[in-house]
Amino acid sequence: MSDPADDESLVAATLDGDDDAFAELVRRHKRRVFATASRFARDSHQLEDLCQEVFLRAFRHLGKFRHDAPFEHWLARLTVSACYDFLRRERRHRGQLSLDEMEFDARDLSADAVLSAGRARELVQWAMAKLSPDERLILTLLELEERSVREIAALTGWSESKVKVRAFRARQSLKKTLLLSDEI
Amino acid sequence: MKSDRRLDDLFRAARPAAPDTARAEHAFETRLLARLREERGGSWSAWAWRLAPFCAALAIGSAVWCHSVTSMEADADTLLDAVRSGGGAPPMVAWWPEGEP
Repeated sequence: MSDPADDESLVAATLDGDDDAFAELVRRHKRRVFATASRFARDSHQLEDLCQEVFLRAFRHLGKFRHDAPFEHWLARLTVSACYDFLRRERRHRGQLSLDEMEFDARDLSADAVLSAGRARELVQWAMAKLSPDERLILTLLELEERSVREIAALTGWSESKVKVRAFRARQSLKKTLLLSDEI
Repeated sequence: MKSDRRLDDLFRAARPAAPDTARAEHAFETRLLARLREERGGSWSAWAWRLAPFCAALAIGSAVWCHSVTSMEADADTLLDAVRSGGGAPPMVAWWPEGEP
């Protein structure tokens, strides 16, 4: 493709059966999808599966894409929706897992007074794993991705007041978890 | 509150620590398209298997129909031969102008 086509024409070409056009769309937007998905996935396999799920959903529902908003926004909503479903599945699975290995991470972190970025991320992940999927989703988008309440409401389809209430409750739960483990 | 400030500090520290996904992103579109083609191929074969009983029923139906049509034609030929031979021709056939000698 010598002439860089816009997203809308690539969507149209994909709908006409041009797989290369879809590959170009994926190439353009994968970085942002990977960045969001990596906040939730625990390893590279989960990350790959989650990102594939996002783009497979995009491919299957491309006919529903309305050109009144940029493709990027539509894809961001699909990403958040796939991540939310992933968290719900994970929660069911996590119920069967032992918490020992996660507790070990927290004890290890408490020994260090000054938290490095990597350790802070591990600690946040450990504490967030105890939250409900919607609380975890909202806090990740709000505090780590630095999205506004309005943006989160648009991405999740929830009302702004619901986002605010859940964010408040999520922070309370997170503080409680960290206080119990003497982390803050 | 102190705990709120500490939580904010923790988030601030964790924020830039998004994992490096460059390796995972490498050739991602190739793997994705391969999966899409696989699913597409899978769906064609699934449809083919679903349609198999209908195709078999259609083939059997066609065979039965062909067989019955052929045997009906054979019966008709036999009857016509019998009429042409003149032996014991039914009165209606004898009445027809072509049936006259």
